[in-house]
Amino acid sequence: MKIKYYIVLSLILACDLGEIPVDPRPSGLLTTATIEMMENYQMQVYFDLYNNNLISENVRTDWDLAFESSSNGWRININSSKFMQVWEVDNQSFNSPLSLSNAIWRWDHQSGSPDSTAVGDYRNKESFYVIDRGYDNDNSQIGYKKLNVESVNSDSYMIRLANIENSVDTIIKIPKNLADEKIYFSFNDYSIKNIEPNYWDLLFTTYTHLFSSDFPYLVSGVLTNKEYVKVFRDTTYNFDDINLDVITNFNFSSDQNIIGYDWKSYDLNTGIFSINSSINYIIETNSQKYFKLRFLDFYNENGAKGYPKFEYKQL
Amino acid sequence: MRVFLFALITTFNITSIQGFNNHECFLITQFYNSDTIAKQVEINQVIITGQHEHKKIDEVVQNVKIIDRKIIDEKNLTNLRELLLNEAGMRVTQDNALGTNVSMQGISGQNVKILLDGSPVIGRLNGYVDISQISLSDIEKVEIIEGPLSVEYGTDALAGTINLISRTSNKNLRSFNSYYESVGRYDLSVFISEKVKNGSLSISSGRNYFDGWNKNEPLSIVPTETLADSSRNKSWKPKEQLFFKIQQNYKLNNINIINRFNSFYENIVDRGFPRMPYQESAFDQNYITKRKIYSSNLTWNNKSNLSLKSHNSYSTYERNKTKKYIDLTTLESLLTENPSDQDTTTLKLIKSTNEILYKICPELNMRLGYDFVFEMTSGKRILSNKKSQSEHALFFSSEIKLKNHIIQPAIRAAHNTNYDAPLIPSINTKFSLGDYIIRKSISKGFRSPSLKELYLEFVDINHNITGNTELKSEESLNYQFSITRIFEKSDHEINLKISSYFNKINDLITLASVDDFYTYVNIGKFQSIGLSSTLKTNYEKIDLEFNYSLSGRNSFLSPINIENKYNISHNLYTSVHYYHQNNSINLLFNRIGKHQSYYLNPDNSLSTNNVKGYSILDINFSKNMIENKIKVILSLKNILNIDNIEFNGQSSGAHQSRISSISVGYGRSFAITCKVDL
Repeated sequence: MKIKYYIVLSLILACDLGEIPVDPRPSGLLTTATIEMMENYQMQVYFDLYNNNLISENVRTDWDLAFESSSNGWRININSSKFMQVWEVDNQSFNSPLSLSNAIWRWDHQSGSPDSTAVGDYRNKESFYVIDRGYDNDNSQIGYKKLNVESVNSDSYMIRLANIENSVDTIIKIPKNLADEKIYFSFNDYSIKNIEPNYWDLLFTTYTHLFSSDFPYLVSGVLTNKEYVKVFRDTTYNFDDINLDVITNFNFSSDQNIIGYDWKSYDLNTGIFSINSSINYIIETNSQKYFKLRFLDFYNENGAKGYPKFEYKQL
Repeated sequence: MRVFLFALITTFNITSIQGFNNHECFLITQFYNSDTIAKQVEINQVIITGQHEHKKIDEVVQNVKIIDRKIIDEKNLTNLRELLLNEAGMRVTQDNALGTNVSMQGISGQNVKILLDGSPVIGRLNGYVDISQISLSDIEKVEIIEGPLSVEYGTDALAGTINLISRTSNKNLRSFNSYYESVGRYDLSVFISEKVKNGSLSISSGRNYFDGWNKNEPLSIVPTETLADSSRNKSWKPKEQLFFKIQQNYKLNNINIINRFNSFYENIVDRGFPRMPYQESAFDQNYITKRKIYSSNLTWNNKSNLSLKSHNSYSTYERNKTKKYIDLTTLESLLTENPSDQDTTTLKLIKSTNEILYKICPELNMRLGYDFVFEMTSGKRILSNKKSQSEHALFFSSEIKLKNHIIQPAIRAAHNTNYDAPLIPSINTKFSLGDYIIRKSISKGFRSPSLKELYLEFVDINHNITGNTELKSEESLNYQFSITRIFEKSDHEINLKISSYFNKINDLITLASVDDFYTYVNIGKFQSIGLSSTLKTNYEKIDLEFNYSLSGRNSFLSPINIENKYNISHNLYTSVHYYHQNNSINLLFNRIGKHQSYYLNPDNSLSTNNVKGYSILDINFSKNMIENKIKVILSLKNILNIDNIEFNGQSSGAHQSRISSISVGYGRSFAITCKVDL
């Protein structure tokens, strides 16, 4: 008879009895780091793996253009972290009125290939550029600028800048600095900014990813130092089993977006980012050191997104 | 073994209860007294929805199906989802966050009108009402009308209308109902009805608790405390539903008044999967739904063939979403910081329908009505956080009865404050020729743009989706034809019905890319065709229903203007009832064929969905005891153990999502219901 009442009571009182907490994992020998890109991904953070060190950080809207700084350098990158885009205008004078509805936009390729910049090779051309400065940190559109590269030599760039309606038409000289990879320039105050440190391995940032030639999308993730760092993306090995012996067959790439954005995925239904923990990254740095790395989280302990957490170990 | 033991004990427990007052037995239990009565009831079923006056089912001009309390009990159905899953020609799909959707005549749930005692059930997520939220514990019958009823019920009544009629009684009655299902469902409800001066007062209330379900989880008779590991994430989310209804029936001379208050609360707990790689944290989400409907019905009948009807209702809906980050090693949690993670959407609707029915002569009557609807919504993603619209409509219909012929023309004209409401005509006819009954209809229907489609504002660095205040309503044209032949023999009757339909919907409201942003636009059209044959017969103690139907769907998706062929889907439905004294066995088989559809992505690329076919097989054993005061139903549900159906989706774009399966059911289960009427 007791069972009968037990069953009747269960119908009446059936409820969520809660959970039993799981045991925390024992702390290991891996190095763990969390990068504060912030909720709206506004920070660009440069990281050094060997020293487990955040080298420098800046707000992504601090700069607009990056000029190649070597003596024979001439390439110009746009700040893809704020979704900038470029329209090359030819057969028109710099001061002629423009209709943005006719624009054919271009973007820097996410791989960082020097031959795939939005500005392209402007030398020996009569064209000029309309620069869409992308979005501010509050998601508002910043505006447009006209750009013409008047000249480039081993010492400096000479550029002409104006607002889209031709006001504030200015010629600016941007001197090169051979100690730097790039010279970063801001349209905010027409000044040079100190953005990129001399040596770094990982850059946590948003960047523009081209899903197809005309389908750009702003993603958040990790770019690597194209000059010094190579990466192999592994999905077959258990993270714990990766050592110097197994990486000999790995085909490392110097594309800057091998780590990229897809170590996490976004569930449209739940609105939650989850980590694709089966992806391991083996990173070869400038000093021939190898590291294995995987991501642990994209949220901080307050549940705010934009805080990538990863663990890594030198092999 | 434990399940069997539970069933045995419960049955034994019930049979030991004694001492009821025979005369207080509720009328509906008379259905079970004999086989003869059961069959008479089917013939005399009365239909209310969309009619000039209450009519027997064989007299109405529309194609109507009634599922009464007797069927609901014998099939052991607890909510509208289960009921429609066991009906021919319906396709039920499950989204474990948004709920259950049903499509009729090949048209999705956003074009299906759900009514509760004539009042619209509001709160559509992704366009449809979650039909698993609608309990049947206090429902007397469900009326399903296929095809548009937009003249009478306005927007959304395009593919069909489902009206749930609440249980009522003019006698003193106490009724208790308990339901247990081995997947972890525990339902309890009570219905009390009291005779009062000039009428009656009835109250129903209940609680449904479901502790969630995962494939291969062990059977548990009672909920238990569980480890916060990967088993915490359920494919069918745990939920608790509470409902309360009070109804007052009042009759004075020629005036009938019914006042109702209906309240519903649901809390869905979505415990997230422990986050990789260490599974020490998760995101949990709660979805709380509150729905209330206040309604008042007034009917006045004059002896000189004049009658007035007034139906007024005020409905509110609120859905609250919260997201928490939980540390699974301590179970400490806190709300996430992203503002869009926490959201409350509210909807309010006032509806007033007033109509005059005048019988000019026995062959001709006319109905003139005025319909007023005021709707308001608020939420973070609504422009200015709050928007409203109202609609005034006049509708007219008449019924002309000629020899063997009934003709029912109707028209509705409306003015909406936000968009151009279309003119909606319809004509339904019924023609009797010997043993044949032929029904034909041509009707227009419409679905007005929702406030979300008009006023959505979702703009951030990666999204620029806004509503479109220039939207027109979706308009449909529906043709239906059916022929019914009744063979009456001395000891049995055979009812054979063949029906067909054609639907054409223009100006589909679709999310599409316009310049550099996304918005809702009227593009594309949709067509569906269907052919259905139904055989019903009763022979001695056996009732048999057999249905075979096929439906075809055809989408014309501009601007890329892809014209697809009809994607045909087959449906086979069989229901067998065997009655013996106070017992019955019901066997139900429903085969839903494979299904293919296309849809347009926001970036104008095309996606294809292929859903495999599946079959549902249920067996229900029903036993009436102690002069029908107690009824026990044992069920083996979903015997073929269908849970997830393979689903191949192909899409393009940044949010590529390939879902490999969709939820249909929670596998094989055992259920027991005990009903006590005092």
